[in-house]
Amino acid sequence: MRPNGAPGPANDPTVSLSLFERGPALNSAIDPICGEIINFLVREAEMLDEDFHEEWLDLLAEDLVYRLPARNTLSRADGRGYDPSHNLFDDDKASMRMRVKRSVGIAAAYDRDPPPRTRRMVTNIAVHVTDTPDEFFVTSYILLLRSRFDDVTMDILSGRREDVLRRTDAGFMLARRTILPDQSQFGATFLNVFL
Amino acid sequence: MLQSVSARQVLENTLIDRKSWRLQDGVDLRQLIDFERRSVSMRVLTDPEIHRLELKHIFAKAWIMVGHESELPEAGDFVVRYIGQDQVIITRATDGAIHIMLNACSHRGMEICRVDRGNAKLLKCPYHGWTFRSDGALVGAPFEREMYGDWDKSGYGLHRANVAIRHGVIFGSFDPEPPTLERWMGDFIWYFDQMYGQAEFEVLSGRMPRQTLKANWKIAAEQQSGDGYHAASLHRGLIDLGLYNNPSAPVDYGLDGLDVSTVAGHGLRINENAHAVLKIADQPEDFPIGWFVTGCMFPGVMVAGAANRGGSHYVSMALDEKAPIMRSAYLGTISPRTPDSYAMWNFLLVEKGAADVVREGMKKQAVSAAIGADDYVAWESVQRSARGYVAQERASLNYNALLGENRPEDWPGPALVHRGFSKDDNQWHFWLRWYDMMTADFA
Repeated sequence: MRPNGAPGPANDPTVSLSLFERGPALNSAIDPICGEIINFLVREAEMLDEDFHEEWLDLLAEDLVYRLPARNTLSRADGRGYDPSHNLFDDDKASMRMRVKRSVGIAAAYDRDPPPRTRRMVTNIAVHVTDTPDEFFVTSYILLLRSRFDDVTMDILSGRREDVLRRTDAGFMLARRTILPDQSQFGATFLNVFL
Repeated sequence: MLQSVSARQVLENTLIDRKSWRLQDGVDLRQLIDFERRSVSMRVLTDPEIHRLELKHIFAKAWIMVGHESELPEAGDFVVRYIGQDQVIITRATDGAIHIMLNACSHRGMEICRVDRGNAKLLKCPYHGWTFRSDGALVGAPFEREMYGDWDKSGYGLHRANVAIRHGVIFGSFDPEPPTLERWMGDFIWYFDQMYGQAEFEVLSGRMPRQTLKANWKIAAEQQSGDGYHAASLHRGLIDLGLYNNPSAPVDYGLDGLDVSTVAGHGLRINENAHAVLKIADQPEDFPIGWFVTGCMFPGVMVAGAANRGGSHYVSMALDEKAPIMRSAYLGTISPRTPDSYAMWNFLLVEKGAADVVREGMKKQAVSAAIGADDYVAWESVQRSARGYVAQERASLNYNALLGENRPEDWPGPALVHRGFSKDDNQWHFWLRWYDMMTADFA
């Protein structure tokens, strides 16, 4: 654990740091890095919503670790219910390439053609420094709305994200993402949606 | 020995004249299945009356998979699952026995367990405090003597299901007098044992997330029991992803293989030389993976994984650091929610003592997500079609191609064997069994 509570890349990226372990977030009024990071997340969300999945791949670092653990309903005493022993996503860059290719790079992706209409709301963004100079621990809330065909109601996925964003000469890259879901049960058609 | 054509026809002859339920609009269930054309009306996918009949005649009778023993290592451990639409508690008692009981207080109906899993030597209902033992017996209530005097608690236990366990897999049945699990499984049991009985397995994760789908449970279950035919079209994406070894040979998409069907409605498909079909990373050509199997044990227990070739050599997963994903043993269990939706629990099994690298590899979901995505599209789309009156009245699901039994001489397993191009034999047996159970009262 680092002095300010944030993880470095050497730490287990799937460990969820509670609010009180995390240390203070940077003040966006003072630190311009916050604005840059917000811009990155806003741009990333629009890329995915507007079906620029291959371009999104370029935002992912080569050492990417991308996970979405299952969520159980447990007694308060038994913890928050995240279960990394089963991850709905447990991906590196190579498997993410395969997923993206499966989504948009082949002719017969019936779940993506016609493309679902999504809107990713990214909010509650907090930026923390880490021990690595160009790496930042960033938390955010994600609310994904999805409409398909002639659906009247939107499908919803919601969660909290814990990212490690790395500043490079080519801009920010996503090095780690853990999505902590709010739902213990998913529509199976969400298994190929990137949060 | 009777050939499978006779076995199927014997079953059909039993069913063809059997009376059946009359639905509220005057239609007989019998009218919804055509034994000559081998078709089933799409009405069965949406009708609420039929749904309720299924809950009664199938899900409250059958042996339903609810979990695995390795999820309940300690006395007092419990998990909450479903049989049909009923939530059940599965417990490990202090004497080691496994019990299954309805998660509804026998007093005034509140759910006793409102979490997915936990540990409690006694189960106490929050409403009035009635307290139950791991086997469902009522052992006490607050202010018991004041409230009830000297009373007989034995009639107030939780509703229990029968329990059967095979290779650690826990099944429950609400049939008051079910057949043994062995009798229920029939010839399917030999294949089940190949897949799950060759080593001691444990659940990789005992806390698999549920998935739901906006489709009638039967759409998923019947396809899983067979339907090699869809692989070339629906899973065409796997070709483009480079996951097949021989993309130029359609028969190698998995259309050619060995289907196993049973009059009990259980079915499975075997690719006899799995690594010749699907490309598995880092796997040597002569790796004795044996078969790759997918199937469905009626009504909704999904099986998948590798099996050895009839018992001669099982390669221990624990020893092989390069074990590919395909060698995971998988079990899934379908639970109907509404006529238009079902929920599914997925279990990945790993051999006890498996190396970490094997466990980590098995957790990767990218390939299975790719395959599943195709199926879910088709299944939800079938359900959407079934919304309409005309589809319900006039459209049907068709099983107009049968291979018939042609068991190879050296085939080691029992049941009805269909070797070659995968046709509709398994799935038709699913529907025969469906009709059989639905009309059992008229037999």
